[in-house]
Amino acid sequence: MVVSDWRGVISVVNVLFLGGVFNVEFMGLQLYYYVWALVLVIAVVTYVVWYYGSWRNFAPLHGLYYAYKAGSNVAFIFDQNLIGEMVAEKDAKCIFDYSKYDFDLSALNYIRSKLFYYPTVFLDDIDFLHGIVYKLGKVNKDVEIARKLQNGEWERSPSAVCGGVPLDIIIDADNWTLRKSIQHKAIERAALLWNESNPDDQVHSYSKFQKKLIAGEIQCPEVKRDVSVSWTRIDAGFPMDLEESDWAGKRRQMAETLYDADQISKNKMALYVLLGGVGVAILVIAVRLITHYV
Amino acid sequence: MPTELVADATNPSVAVPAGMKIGFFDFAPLAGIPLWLYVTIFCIFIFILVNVYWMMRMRRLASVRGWAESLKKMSQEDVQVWFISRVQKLTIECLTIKDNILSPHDQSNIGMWHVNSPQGIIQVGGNKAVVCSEDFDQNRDFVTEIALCHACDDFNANQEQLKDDLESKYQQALVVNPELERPKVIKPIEDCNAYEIYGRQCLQVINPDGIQIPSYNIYNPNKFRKYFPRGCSAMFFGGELIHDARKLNLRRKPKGFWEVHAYLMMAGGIAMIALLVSWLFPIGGA
Repeated sequence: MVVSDWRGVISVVNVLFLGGVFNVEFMGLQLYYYVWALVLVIAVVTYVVWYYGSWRNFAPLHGLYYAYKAGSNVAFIFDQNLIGEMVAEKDAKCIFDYSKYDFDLSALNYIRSKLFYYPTVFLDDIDFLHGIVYKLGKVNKDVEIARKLQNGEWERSPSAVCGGVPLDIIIDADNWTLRKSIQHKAIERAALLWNESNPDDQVHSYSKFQKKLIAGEIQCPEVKRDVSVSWTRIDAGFPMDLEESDWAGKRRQMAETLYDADQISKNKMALYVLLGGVGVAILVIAVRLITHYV
Repeated sequence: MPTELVADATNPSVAVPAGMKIGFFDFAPLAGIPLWLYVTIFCIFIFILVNVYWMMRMRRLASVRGWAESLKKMSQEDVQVWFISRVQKLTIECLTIKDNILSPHDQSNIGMWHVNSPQGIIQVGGNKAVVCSEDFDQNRDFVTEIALCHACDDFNANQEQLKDDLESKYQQALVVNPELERPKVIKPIEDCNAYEIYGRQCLQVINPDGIQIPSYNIYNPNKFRKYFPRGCSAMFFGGELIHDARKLNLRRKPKGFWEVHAYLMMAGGIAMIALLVSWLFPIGGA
């Protein structure tokens, strides 16, 4: 039973909560202030531990999380030497970053402009409420925007499924997908020029850009159209004649393992018998000592 | 027992025992629970929220957790392997590599792979890994597969023109290498056999310095599947190796009884002696 009323500060308290154990004064403050600080510090430390201890270790694979969030595919981008990184589909396929577009928000009031979610400019099927949820959840809709602007033309051929998300494998031998590369900037410029003059046949993905480049419809001298793969690599990757000697060592090693398997298992058993026997002997002596002296 | 206080509306300090202090957060507006407890619960909620947030975030990466975990488990003879199963599921595991053959630690799994292509080894976040699939007994190299598909598609689509080109290129190549064989047949390269019999030679004559592939490629796994040699699955390869190893042993004299059981018999003897000694060990002068 506690009776209290409020007059700006505590005025009447007839029973302190938990016997006042948290009201003990330490360095001018009640203990509960220190409890709050402690819990908040632990929360911050936990955040840092999660970030550096788990999340950051998977840095090259973060794309899987972002792809899941965006509801898109995930992509592994490899260069010609197969050094790769997992990224969300938009980083692997979209030429433009639509969030960087200069949207005119002058017609919106302050709150509306703060809640503005740029995909709503391109996509009709996002209502206001979903827009807010997506904005707060940082959901990226660039793939859907690009696909819509290309009239549904979009290349996908997932090679595997990773954590329930379809995975595309992409070989980018000329750094097209690196946002800061000269090649990417050149592609962006060329695609922008094309889109201005061809609004009904816009280019928003690298694969469509490449088709136009190969067909000679788009000119972009800064990028390489082709790269060469040597016959040495092809023959190693897809060998026609493999000598038996290539795996003779492994076969011999397996034969030796099989030949010795029985003896190895018996030797292991011998160790257990020895340890068990000595153990039981020690136990017998111990029991005898105890029953004799106690 | 809660501490009973003397209520005094005009001088609250009288009601507070020595060493204790009350303040704004001791105000109990609801069910006698002071504000400071609500704030404490809020702080704990933040702590729980932080953990739930990260757990949910990390759960999304569960399927690639093997990438980091296999590195921890790895010994000198192990290598990280990215598997694409027949149902196209990607998993990351740690396998033993000996004499360029990958084999699982679990002996009941008979699949084995030959690592023939060092250039097919991928590198993600500084960690090297071999890519394998159940339906091919060699390690995979995506770049090679793209190159072959690209060259074969090109070759199949332009047969007539290629016949002319091939003949002229062959004539040119003969100047450099008079022993170069004439490509026997010009017809589409539709499978592994065709590639093996005439396809590779034709493609090399047309592309002597290597195959040109577009700079940007979305790899299509089904496109290359038709070039896989039939019956070259990892299970078949592993099974054959096990069979061969057994065959090798059949030619050897089996180990004798004492060779196999010597240590076990010795251990048994020592154990018996130890038990006997413990039983007969004199205690208390008895």
